Amino acid sequence: MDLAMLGLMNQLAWRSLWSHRAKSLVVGTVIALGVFILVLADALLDSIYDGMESSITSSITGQLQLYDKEAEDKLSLMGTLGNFLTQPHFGQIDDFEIVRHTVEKHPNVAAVIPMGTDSALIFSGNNMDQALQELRDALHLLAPLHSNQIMVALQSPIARVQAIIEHLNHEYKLIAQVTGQSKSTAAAMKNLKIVSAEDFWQQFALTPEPQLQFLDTRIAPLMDDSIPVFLELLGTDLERFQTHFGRFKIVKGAPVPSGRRGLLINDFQYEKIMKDRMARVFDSISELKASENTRIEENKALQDYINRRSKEYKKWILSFDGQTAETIAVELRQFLGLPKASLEILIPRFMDLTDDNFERRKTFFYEKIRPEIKLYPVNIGDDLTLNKFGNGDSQRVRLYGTFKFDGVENSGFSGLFHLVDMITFRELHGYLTEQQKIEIAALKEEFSTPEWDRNDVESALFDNAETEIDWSSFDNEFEPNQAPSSGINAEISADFQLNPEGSQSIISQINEAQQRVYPQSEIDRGATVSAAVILKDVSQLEQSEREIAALLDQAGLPVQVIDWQTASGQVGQMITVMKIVLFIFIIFVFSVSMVVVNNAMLMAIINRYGEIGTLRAIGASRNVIMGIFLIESFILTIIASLIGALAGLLFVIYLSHVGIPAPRLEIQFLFGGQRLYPTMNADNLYLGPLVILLVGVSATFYPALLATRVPPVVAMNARE
Amino acid sequence: MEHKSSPDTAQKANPGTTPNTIPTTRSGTAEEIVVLQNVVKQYPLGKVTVEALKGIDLVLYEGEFAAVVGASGSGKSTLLNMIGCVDLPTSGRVFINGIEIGKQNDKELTRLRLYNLGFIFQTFNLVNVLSVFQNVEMPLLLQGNFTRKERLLRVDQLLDRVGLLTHRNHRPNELSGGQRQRVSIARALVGKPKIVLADEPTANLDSVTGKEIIDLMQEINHTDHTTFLFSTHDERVVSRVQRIIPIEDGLLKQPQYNDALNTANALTGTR
Repeated sequence: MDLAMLGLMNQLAWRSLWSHRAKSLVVGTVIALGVFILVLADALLDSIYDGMESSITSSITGQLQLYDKEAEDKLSLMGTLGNFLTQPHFGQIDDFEIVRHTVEKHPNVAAVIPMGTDSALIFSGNNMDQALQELRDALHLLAPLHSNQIMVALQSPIARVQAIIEHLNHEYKLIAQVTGQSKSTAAAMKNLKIVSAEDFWQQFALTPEPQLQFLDTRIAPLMDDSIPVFLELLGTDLERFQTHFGRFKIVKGAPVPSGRRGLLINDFQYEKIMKDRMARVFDSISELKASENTRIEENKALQDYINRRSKEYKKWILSFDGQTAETIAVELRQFLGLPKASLEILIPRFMDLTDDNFERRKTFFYEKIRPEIKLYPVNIGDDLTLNKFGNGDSQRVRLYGTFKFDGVENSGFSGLFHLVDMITFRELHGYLTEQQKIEIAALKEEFSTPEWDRNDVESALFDNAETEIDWSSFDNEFEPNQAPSSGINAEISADFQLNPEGSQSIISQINEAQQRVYPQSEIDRGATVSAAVILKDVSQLEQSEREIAALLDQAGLPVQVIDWQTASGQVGQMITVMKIVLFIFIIFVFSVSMVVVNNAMLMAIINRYGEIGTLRAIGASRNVIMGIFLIESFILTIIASLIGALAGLLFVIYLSHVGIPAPRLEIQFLFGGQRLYPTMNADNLYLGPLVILLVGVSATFYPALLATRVPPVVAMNARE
Repeated sequence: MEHKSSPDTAQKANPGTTPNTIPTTRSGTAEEIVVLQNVVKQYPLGKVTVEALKGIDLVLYEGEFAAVVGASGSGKSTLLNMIGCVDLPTSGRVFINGIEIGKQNDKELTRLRLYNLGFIFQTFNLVNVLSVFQNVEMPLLLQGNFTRKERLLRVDQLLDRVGLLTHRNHRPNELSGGQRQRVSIARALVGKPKIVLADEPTANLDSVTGKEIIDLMQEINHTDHTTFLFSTHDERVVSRVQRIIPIEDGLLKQPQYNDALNTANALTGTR
């Protein structure tokens, strides 16, 4: 067989395809469609993978995560969704500083950032909080006055606080009678005793701030009429986190100052979950109107939402205090022209929103009602008490602002965490290394007991000379009026028991902890749950992962390295699930193509039975017959594949311009933003056609083999 | 391929059937190009076995212009299939140009057909998606040892000879029946076969066209000495062949010779 014969076979194939063009068109369309879908799905999945990678690596995990080799559970930073009652055991990295130094030796490492997750409750809206806030506000107003004058002016708010303390005293006495003196009851009663004492308030007149802190942290949590807000916390080195996680942006407030303790709340949760429910109704409708041009009249789901919310008016009314309720009622009566109606009538009426009245009511809400209500349970600048879930530990920390991860700010996944500084996290989490304990003990001795004389301090230092304490860094960082914190509750309780007058020292410690600037070495030194590794060149992820693991092994550190996908837990596994789905889909498309091509070729052979026989009779070998059909199927498949791939390419190019809007907020996380802008790479393009080509030709092989078995004698009986 | 090992046993095995007839116009003794020895062909048909050929002995000489004549079901097509190497005998031996076909594999049989046999079909059997030229060119391409120029020359010569040079780029379905059969003849001849087998070549043609086709084949037989074997029951064909080989119920009867063209061995013209 020579080239001329191949040419003829080729021509024969083309002409056969043309003369059976209806069939060719159907088969070709099926193949083209299959390739189109494959190319598209492959490109989309790759893009989603990239989007997700970007979402996850630049907001939570970094490219790699380091954690305890002996951890009981696999580290999953995002996979503990809805599973916060059973705390997973991720072990701990005992000394982050050593790990950091070891890993940073790798040339591709840009940064190593400590991380740990924990959960905490904050209580907001309780009467004590409000009373204390009132007291604080009054203090600020009266600040220029002399302390004695202040005390006179503060009589009313102090009386309110003392009334609450009185109430609590009574409550806890009852509790103690009924349930016996449990440890927590005893502690509560101890604290109540301190604040009930005359000298507490005398001290308040001199230095009100520490006393207020004590009331905030020790007494306010005892009130049970508050609304708990549950926070998933990610403890980290805030400064490095802000520098190295590219999507991090402050939305409201300010970043936590360098080296300070501080909390940053996720803006998504702050706006969508914590914000006042009524305000959220107006916000949601505004957003929908702006983004999708929705009209309330035409949107059944939106109407249902408004209805549902307006039925919750009782909750709102309960959340207002008496004064607020009255003010709002006055405003609403005037606005709605119902001079005698109660709030129970006014609020549902007000929330009967239509396209016509929406803008006016929204304006009214924000102008008249908003100033009367607490829009958020916690305000930026507030000092909050983080109560460790499950035990009584708590930490006082200031809310500096809210943040978002650029592009995925509307996704629930990225709104999972709030950020807290590493020091607070460690203490909340109960991490203490031996070294830390020694340090803290030493620091306490030096700074918290002013009656110590110089010799005693020196002897203490001398005794501790064996331990490695980086005094020099402390010397540099400390300003004279700042004392380092112990912040350890156990120690505080011990103090109280030993020395009731010591409350003053504890209060000042809490206060000083807030004000203190922690040096980097202190943030680094100590335990962490895990650490994120930010790479310079992301494309070398796998190689770097191996090399970093080797570095850690060499250093004898019991720390393992995992990639972001593994580290993100269930969320990261979604991409694997999608890949499996795509794989199943590919198999499905191939099976369909295979059946279609196979059938079409069998039909062709039946139709051309006589022709095959004739060719055999006049001397065409079996190879020639086989060749004719293979070439035919090859041509059809390749053309259809090219058309399908081209269509897929064009469609992806089109999509890369307009973007695919995320159908749900959660999907934005997968898309890496509000829209997915898919991209195409060579892999996406040739994979589909190549496999289809293989399928097409192999699906022809059997029919073609049958064709070669057509006996030449049929030519004799053939009819044209 | 063209080795001449024609077994001399052929004649001895069937002395009664075909006497030493020298039907050619060529001088000297014509060669035995087809030899059948006691050929039996049985087909399974449902549960019974049909015996289409019941022991055929036949010799065809180079340059003969002969026809197997018989009614439908007499076995004439089966006989032609044996000679055309598209079917194999159940027993007995078939020699084509000295080669026993029963001993060949499919590949060898294909080559045998390609180089030694030309086929003209009752239904023309042209490849409709190819042009007239390409249909005729096909056997040359399959043989594979011709340059483009050679193929062009030979195909065009043949097309000229069958009077279709002007139609060389037409598709078969643009031609009349007679024209198609001419293309078919050109295709059968292009590879210069020893034998052309024509299965009822005029059955689908009107009488005038049928006559023209016979004229054409007879002319080729005269000028090129190509052996022609027809299967037919068409009187117009029968009257034109040199030797009539009657077949009935799978057995050959006494052959008859038309004297119009061959003076020697002429028998009475009745069948």
